[in-house]
Amino acid sequence: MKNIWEKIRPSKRKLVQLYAALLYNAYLKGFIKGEIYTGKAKYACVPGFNCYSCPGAVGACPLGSLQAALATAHDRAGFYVFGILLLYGLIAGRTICGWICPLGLFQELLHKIPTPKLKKSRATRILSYLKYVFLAVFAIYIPLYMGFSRGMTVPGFCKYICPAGTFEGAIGLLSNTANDSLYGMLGVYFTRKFVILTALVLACIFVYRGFCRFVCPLGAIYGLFNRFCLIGVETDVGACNNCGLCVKKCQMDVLHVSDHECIQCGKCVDVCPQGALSLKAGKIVLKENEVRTKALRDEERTEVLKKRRTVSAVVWGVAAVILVFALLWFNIIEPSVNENGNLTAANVGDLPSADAGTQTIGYEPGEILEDFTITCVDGSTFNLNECRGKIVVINLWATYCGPCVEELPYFCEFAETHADDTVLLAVHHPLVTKEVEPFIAEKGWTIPFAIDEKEPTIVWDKVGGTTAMPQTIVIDKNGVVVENHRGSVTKEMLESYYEEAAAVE
Amino acid sequence: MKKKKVFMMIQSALCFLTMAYPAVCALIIYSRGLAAKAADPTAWIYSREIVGEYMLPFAILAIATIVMALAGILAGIRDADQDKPAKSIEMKKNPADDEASGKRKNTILTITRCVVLAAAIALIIIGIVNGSARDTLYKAITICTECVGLG
Repeated sequence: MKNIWEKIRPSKRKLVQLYAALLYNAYLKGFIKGEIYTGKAKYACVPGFNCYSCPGAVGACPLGSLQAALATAHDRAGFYVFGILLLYGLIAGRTICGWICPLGLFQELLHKIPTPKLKKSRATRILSYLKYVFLAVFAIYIPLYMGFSRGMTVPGFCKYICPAGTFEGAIGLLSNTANDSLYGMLGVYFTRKFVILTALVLACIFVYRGFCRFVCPLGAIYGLFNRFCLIGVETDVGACNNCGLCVKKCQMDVLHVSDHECIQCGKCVDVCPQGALSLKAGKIVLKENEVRTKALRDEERTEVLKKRRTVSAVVWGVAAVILVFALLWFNIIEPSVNENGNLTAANVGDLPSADAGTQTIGYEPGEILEDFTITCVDGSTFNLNECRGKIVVINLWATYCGPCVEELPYFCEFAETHADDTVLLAVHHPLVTKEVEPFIAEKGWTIPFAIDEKEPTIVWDKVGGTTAMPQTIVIDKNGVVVENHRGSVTKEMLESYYEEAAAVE
Repeated sequence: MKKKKVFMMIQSALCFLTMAYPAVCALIIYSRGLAAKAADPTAWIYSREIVGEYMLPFAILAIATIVMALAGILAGIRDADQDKPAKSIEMKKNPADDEASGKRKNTILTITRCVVLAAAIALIIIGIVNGSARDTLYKAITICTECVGLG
């Protein structure tokens, strides 16, 4: 039994990685309810790679936030994210990759599967520069280009590659039956990203941290700070005899200890026969080779070991308290995620039935949509009941939602084609990040636009709006919902919904 | 020695199958969905029921891979080559630590750190004032359908 435990016993680093993964995803209720955390803790970016659309995530993803900041740079410079990245880089650099990145832990666990492994070589060193290409093209160029040229928020890396988004976000949300309507949104993006995810998972089984080494743009950013970050592996040049064992034994593509590829995991500290390496945070030694401890006199060694054990116990104790507090806070206490404060849709089906004959009030097909009145951005008023006798199409969107901005021209075209018997209304999400009116004017869109109110919302809750946009609701001439589609629509789909609604007498 | 190699080859094949199977299934579902969508533009490409049809073989493969991996780990099977020092790689001398790197170099390092820290704090404060911190929150509390590959 003891022998088995020795084989599977996790190292301290693994425990730290596991701890970080749990802390980043402390909103466990999200996995059960199939919704994301919408509290204020998401002001803060977590240091590691963790999708903010994961049901458990309690912080923002630094790479996703960076791309969003770059995509909206034409409107407002994202100084906040740049500052956060600088701060994390200065404190820890790629120590974050080695110690507190959930995706790093996942890759290391995959690499534990007993298969033949691909060793590092000159070729893998060259390939390691690929991540700078991914950073430049997908995380910087695409968001900037699409933002400046088309006014669209396109997080290139998230949209085309990010396996964390597919695994934690998409699969995390889709695995819950509460999100069955999201399946309607799946198409080419999901298929492509899912295939990429499977390829990367497979690669990480055979190649140590394949994603980190060759793809991860966040690692590429943090790597730039490795030269001067506060936490890192340092070399005592007096003791080092340049045998090179540290580099030869390292599984990352480093040229020397602590270069931009080094994730400061501390493996080199253990293998150094001279005891010349140590993991330090400024002057504080976090990890050093046993050779150093053995060199001390017995009394000194006993004292040092005792001191370390005490510090270790205190640190783990504090960490445990923080984790317990985080779990309690995010799942039970946090006021912004309780039933009333949550920004996700309320269950309209529970509302008392209005005077609607035998049909219930609701937002699903076959139900009558509850009446509402909202003021449009041009000052006019939109009342749903006044539109009886016409087909009503309501679109939920936001300026920062790429697919929403992409599909709105179809709605304008559609409104012109069916002006006789159709009324359109585009409702912006209550969370407004930029001036909506100038944005609409710049695009030249001609349909009525309104901005929803916050808590309680006027339209959002009534139509079953969620934080996943866009969404299109088609109502027939009698006020009955014909279609409530989550996700992008095409021209053909709009026409099809129209025909379905027009067929009703 | 030979048994270990055979074990690892079987494990590799199992891993490949476990990952290739869902990828191929996704492509099949997508191509069938496209055909259905051509006939009816409102048809869904994916649904829980369709995905469910392909889940059983995947679950079997995944469980077999995990069980075999655990058995291999407990039996101490691993690629011994990964523990050997790498050959034919480029190497450079390790840089000296703070104390040994000389007073001048140490001062430059401290100044760099102070400048970066000041810049980071300044950017965060400016970001809070100009609303970019709020942008981060808004983006993070909304399901980014593109980010997660939903559409």
